[in-house]
Amino acid sequence: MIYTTCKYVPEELFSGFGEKVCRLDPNPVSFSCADGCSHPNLCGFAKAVIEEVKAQDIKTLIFTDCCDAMRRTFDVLLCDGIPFLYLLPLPHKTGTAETSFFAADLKKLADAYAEYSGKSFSWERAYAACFENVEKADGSDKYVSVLGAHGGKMLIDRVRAALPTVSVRDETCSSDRFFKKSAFGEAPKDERAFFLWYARLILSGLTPCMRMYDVKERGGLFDEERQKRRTGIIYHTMKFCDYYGFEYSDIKGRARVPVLKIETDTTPQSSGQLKTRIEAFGETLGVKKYADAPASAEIDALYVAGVDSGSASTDAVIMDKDRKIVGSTVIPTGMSASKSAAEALSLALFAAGLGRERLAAVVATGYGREAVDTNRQTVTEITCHALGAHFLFPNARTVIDIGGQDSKIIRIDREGNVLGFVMNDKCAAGTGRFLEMQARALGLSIDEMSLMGLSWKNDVRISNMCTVFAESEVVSLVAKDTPVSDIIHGLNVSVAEKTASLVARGGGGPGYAMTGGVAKNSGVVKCLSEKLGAPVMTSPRSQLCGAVGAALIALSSLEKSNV
Amino acid sequence: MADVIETFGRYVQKQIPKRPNYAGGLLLTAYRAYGFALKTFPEKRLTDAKQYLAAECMDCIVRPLAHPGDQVLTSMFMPCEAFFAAGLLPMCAEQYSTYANGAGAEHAFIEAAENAGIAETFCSYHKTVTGAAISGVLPKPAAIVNTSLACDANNLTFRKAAELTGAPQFYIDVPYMPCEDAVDYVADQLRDMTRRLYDVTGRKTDEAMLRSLVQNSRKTMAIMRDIIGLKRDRYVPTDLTSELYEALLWHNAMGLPKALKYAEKLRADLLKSREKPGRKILWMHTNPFYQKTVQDIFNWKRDPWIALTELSYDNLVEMDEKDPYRAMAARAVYNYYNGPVSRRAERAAEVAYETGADGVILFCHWGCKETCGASTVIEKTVSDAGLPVLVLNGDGVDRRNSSDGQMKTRIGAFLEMLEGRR
Repeated sequence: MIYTTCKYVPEELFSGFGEKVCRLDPNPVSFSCADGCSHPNLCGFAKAVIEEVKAQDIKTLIFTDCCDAMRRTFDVLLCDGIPFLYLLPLPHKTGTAETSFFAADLKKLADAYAEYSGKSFSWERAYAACFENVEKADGSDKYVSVLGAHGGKMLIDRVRAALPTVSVRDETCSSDRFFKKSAFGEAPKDERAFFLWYARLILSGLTPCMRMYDVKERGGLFDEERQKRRTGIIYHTMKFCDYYGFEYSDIKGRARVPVLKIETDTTPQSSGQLKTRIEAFGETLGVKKYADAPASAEIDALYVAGVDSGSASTDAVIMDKDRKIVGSTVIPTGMSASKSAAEALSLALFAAGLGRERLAAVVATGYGREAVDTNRQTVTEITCHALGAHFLFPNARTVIDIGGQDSKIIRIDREGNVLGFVMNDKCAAGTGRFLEMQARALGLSIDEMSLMGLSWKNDVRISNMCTVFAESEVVSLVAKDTPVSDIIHGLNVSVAEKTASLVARGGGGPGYAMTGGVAKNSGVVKCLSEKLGAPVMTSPRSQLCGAVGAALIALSSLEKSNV
Repeated sequence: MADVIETFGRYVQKQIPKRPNYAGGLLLTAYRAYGFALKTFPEKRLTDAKQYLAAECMDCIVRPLAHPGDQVLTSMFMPCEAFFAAGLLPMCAEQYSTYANGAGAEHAFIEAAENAGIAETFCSYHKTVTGAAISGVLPKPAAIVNTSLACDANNLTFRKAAELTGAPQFYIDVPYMPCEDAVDYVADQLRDMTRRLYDVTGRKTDEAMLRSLVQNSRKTMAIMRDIIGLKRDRYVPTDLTSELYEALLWHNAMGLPKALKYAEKLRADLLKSREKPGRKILWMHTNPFYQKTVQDIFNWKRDPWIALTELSYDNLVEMDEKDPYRAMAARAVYNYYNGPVSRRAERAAEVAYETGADGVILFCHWGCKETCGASTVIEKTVSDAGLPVLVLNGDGVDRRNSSDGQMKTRIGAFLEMLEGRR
């Protein structure tokens, strides 16, 4: 078996040797080996290749000169004594000179493999193999497209699992490797002509990846036919691969359908966060319908509950049929999401003076939503925050939720429906946890920090966004006797900048409402308002927003089932 | 001075989203003023050569920014003699970003790029200039010309800048494997590029002048080779910023009399010097010139001394000046950043030996997969040659990606280790 790393590797060439080819699609659990023998700042795919090669007994591996990370991965693996490890130079341009250059390099690869394997090469067989990879006619169904950088089978499977009722199509850079029919041209007559013909087919017949100079052909991914059939775009980028951020920046403003940006690194980590995003996106597209609520004949006398099981706190709200909040609670999420949820629900019921039997429906949301034993339905916190924010702030159009472990920007319409959303990536920068850690470094409680941040005098900059580095910056400032209120202000500005940047990425506009625990921090709210150049609404109930939204969904589904 | 720059930077950054042209004008005015100050009140701790270098480098950014109609936006690794021979003014994208940092204004550009969806992990030199294009501060140049050397960012930044400014872009594809066929291929592309530049700018390349400029390049490079050996026993003061100035002048101003003059002046300063250097460092890749912790360790110090920066020798290759296009092409194709990393690693070990370096610091600039990915191979090759290597993570432009405490501890411990080996 010959392993490859890139769609530009001439797979059909190896059919000319009677060999089978397999493109690597690794999903290592961690990068413990790759981080040691290369550098943590290589892209996830490059590191995953190193992990895979070290774990498997791969004897034949072909790279192309496709990007910095893969070039350097090849250099690192050269030390491993792989019997046939080859790097095929790949031009960036696709003109006549480049095609000739590439043809010569393809011939060198064929010669090197013939020498290594002792097998003879048949250009006729390689030529015939090219016709097995001709582009096929598309179906005509509607679909959700996964575009951007290599995501691999695991990502596509996850998207399909999160959107079970729609067709999902992989259109990432490593998806099906088909040549355009128009690129085949006249048949070659001999081996020399074959290499030239084959070089042209690869350079001009494949949808170009973003590393090529001329990417106009990628426009085919956005042609009229596909635009009509696409109901949504999930745009995938790979951590530390910079190519596809540029395409995302181009399409996000002009796509005719909702776009969700996600980032992964080939490992199975952060599957919970990914699931939340894709499910919420499905809710935006109207893909996933809420499960039917239990039938209840006597709705008037009954109540509903919403539980938001977050990473830092678990919030519960009890609501009556008139959408009035009759009881609520906020407790820290302990070691068990399900226990905290049960406790929060009991406390909220207690606050409302009600027994559990009075609840006709319970909806759970938040990271721990699956663990909550509501025996009912779960909805992502995106949809819940949108509805909750609409309830708390009827004029809100952009919901800024800074929670314990993530930040979200949700654009909503007049009815509280989600128009689009973005979330921060897996990094604590700009989240509640970031502020919590800095408060700890300063020896303050979050409440003290919130108050002190308002009485600053000098504009101190905290330049590091990395939570750990920022903490050491805070410690250095303390050592220099910088007033604590100035340091806190610096931290608040840093969170505000990060959040404003996320607002810009999500296309948010005025009508800002802030929810989540950090909304209680007046210093951050003030800085954010200055950064956005518009007021930011908050409410004493901001932290309950997700739970309020969940309760509203419970009520709405109850009403529907009783119509 | 630091306070003035910070206040100025904040003001400019506030203007960038609202009044991009005004912000660009402010930056140019600041560069002009600083250039005037450098000529009138040069840094006394530097020798004649380095004072000259600072002033000339400022000129390399002021002129193209002041005359965007004559400007060719390019990358550091592009041979520029053909632009000068056509009366055009190259402006190096990396220099633009470095100077934006020097003016305390890089953050607004980085923010503009990240807000547009550009990855946070993208090289901050390129992210800054991309952000300048996105925010409308970067003036429309006469043309954009770049090579595929030495990193992926070249494939993205310049295409985006061309889309946003509407300037024509020419791309010089430098094949991965250094060989004579590749030199021919790149030379053909350079010839074609000058013809097409004429079509879009009306500026014709003066072939006689081009030959003369390439001869200057050869003479400059011969002196650069002498300088490496002279540094073995002779010390001249330097600082992190001067190291970057030198790299810029010997790339994008290569061929001009000023690059040759600087080489001559530096050689003269070295020959005059009677001071012996202390612990000598070969610094690989760029440096965090703005970071005070690192400045405090190295600036104007005899011990430790940054004897040589990799970007001052990466393009020192053999070239045949008879065909100026082939000569320029050879500088790109055989640049030590091109091809397998073993070339770069082995060259570092050789140069470290020639200059008598006590240790090597390899600066892994955040977002540079080229250098970060090469770090283990370089570390092994240079260590095997008997020299200690420090792999130092940081950022050449974006202050957010570096930690003062870690930097100080790592460099400090490394220097103590070198002291122990003496």
